[in-house]
Amino acid sequence: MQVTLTKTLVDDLEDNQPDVQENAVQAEADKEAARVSEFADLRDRQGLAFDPAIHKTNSAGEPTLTKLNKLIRKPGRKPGQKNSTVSKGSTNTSTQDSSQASRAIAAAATVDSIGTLGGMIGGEEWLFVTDKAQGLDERQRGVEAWEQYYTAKGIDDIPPGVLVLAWVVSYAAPRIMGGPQTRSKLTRAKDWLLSKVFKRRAETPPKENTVKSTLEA
Amino acid sequence: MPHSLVLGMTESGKTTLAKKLSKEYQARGIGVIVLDPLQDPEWSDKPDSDLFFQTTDKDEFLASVKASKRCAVFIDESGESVGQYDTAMHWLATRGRHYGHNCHFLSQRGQQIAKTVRDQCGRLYLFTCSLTDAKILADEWNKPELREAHGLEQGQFFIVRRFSGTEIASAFDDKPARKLLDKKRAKA
Repeated sequence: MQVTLTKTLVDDLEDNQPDVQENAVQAEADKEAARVSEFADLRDRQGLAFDPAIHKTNSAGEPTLTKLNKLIRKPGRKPGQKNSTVSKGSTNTSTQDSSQASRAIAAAATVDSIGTLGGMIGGEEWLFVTDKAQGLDERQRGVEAWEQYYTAKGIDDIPPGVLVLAWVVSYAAPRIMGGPQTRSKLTRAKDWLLSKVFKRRAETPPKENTVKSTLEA
Repeated sequence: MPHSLVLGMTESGKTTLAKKLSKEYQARGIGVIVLDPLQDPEWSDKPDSDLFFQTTDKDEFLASVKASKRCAVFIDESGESVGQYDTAMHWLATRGRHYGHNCHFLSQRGQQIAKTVRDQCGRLYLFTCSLTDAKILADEWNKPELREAHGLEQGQFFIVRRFSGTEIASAFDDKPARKLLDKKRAKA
């Protein structure tokens, strides 16, 4: 077997690895249990009993209390919590995979919304064109472009503001364009507004002290 | 004194050496517990193995150390996590051996770690460091040859044991260490 530096070092360290001192370990466990039972009546704001792994202690190992005699939790995540910071190496990869999947879904939803809106406002001419003979697929191209955009911007889902705007436009646009009652009301409103504008212009006297008149004088 | 100090400047090779040791321990069936604020995934080839546990949280780390026995324990950036006044972490050096643990404290400078902890270490792996730090360590470990540590190349390090001669090796090529003779002793 080849002798390498790492092997030699670990051989040395392993040879000097101390034996477990069960008495000392047991004594420490007893001490900890005694300390916990001594402060068993104390609770923190969530109602949890004293646990040295969760609650703040002083240098003597006694719990630190608030003014209201409540235990104070240590900052950071605690042992056994779901959102543990334990690194398992591949965790990041799976997060990336799920983010990418949600971006693809968001991109497809965005493109479909835009297509629907286009169809509503502009009619059939605005629907996506797919021509396999020419290799044209507008929807697919749109999905890819939006997916790249979301990836570049770090957006995992469609922003809620965009969804609200899409809904408002899809609700209002067809009614404005095609609803007979809406169109007549809009025409009346436009006429009323124009009449007000023309009336105001007719009443306004011409300005006398203009730059031109000053120069002429 | 089962614990080790791994000291040296940034990018001198401390963590490279520690990761190699970590993997070798696991290959031998010895459990490894790592406290690494940077969450580096390179500490293990099999991060899901029962022999490996890594965290960034001090409390979680200490709970894990107390719940296991005869493990190799690595504390990266010990200057921050162990420091001078963190008594809970000092426990690791003073009482950790009762649990059969072999602790490795990684830091840029020896003085960043409390003397109580430094005194519990029987091994020093010293990478390149400042002249001042080298002098202090030479005095502390009673090894005059450590004053030359400022001239070590990247990856090179001194292997120092309390009661035997100093050796020199490189963390990058994994070749066996060679003995280093003090200049005065060599002349004699």
